[in-house]
Amino acid sequence: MVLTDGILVAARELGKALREDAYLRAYRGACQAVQDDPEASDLEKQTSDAYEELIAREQADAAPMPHELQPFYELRRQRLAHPLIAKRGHAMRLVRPHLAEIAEEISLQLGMDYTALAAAAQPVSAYSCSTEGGKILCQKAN
Amino acid sequence: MDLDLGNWARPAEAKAEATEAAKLLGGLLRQTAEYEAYSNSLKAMTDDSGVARVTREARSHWSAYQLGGDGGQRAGELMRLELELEDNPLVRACRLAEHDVRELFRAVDEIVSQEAGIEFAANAQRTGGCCGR
Repeated sequence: MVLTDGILVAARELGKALREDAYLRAYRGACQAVQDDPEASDLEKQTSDAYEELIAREQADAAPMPHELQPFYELRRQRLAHPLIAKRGHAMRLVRPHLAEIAEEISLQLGMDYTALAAAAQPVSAYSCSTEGGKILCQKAN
Repeated sequence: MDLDLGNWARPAEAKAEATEAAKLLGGLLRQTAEYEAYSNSLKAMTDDSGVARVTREARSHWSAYQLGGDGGQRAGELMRLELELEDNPLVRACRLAEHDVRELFRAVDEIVSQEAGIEFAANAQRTGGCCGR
């Protein structure tokens, strides 16, 4: 597979144009606020660690009993209730329709659903935001 | 819940730019060998009477299976038809072409996402999405 210069430039231009969108900026601001808040980022990390542990146990054929899931659900509840995390979730809900509309333009050109082919094969349950190369990037967390 | 959009807003301009960039990108992807191969293999597969027959049979068994009629035999038939499909050269060619086009689109999406600061395709899907918690 070779990405032509034209495709590389067009992909970068699209990314840059999306980056300028007001809602995307607001979303990145909300991500940064979560990262900068020790309580919120700690809740994120604890929830992610707890999730990873549950997955590891399940993969090791030692699936947790229902009562052992309670601490995870409690952490998740606290995380969702945190005002900064809730604000980030709200920001994402505003961003998605815009992204869908833009992706639709690609799909129209192709005559097939770009997102279905370009997104990860497995549905992704949750992501967190981190800083990478000076950019805030929404990444897979659990 | 209010979001502070501050002085950032140039939404109409930014949207127009993104729309144009998306159209251009879609057009360029359409010209790739990977897209052409996938598109052709899809057409060949859907036009093939053998594939259509197996698909029709599978659909009929699936409907009957869901209605609860003779579950074991239906499940066996479904498995046999699935194997028959997987063994069909047109279906195999289509799977391979799909793999290549996915690889291309994912590489492109990675670039878009890096620049945008958000996973583009995953969050642009009409159903689901990855980040809204």
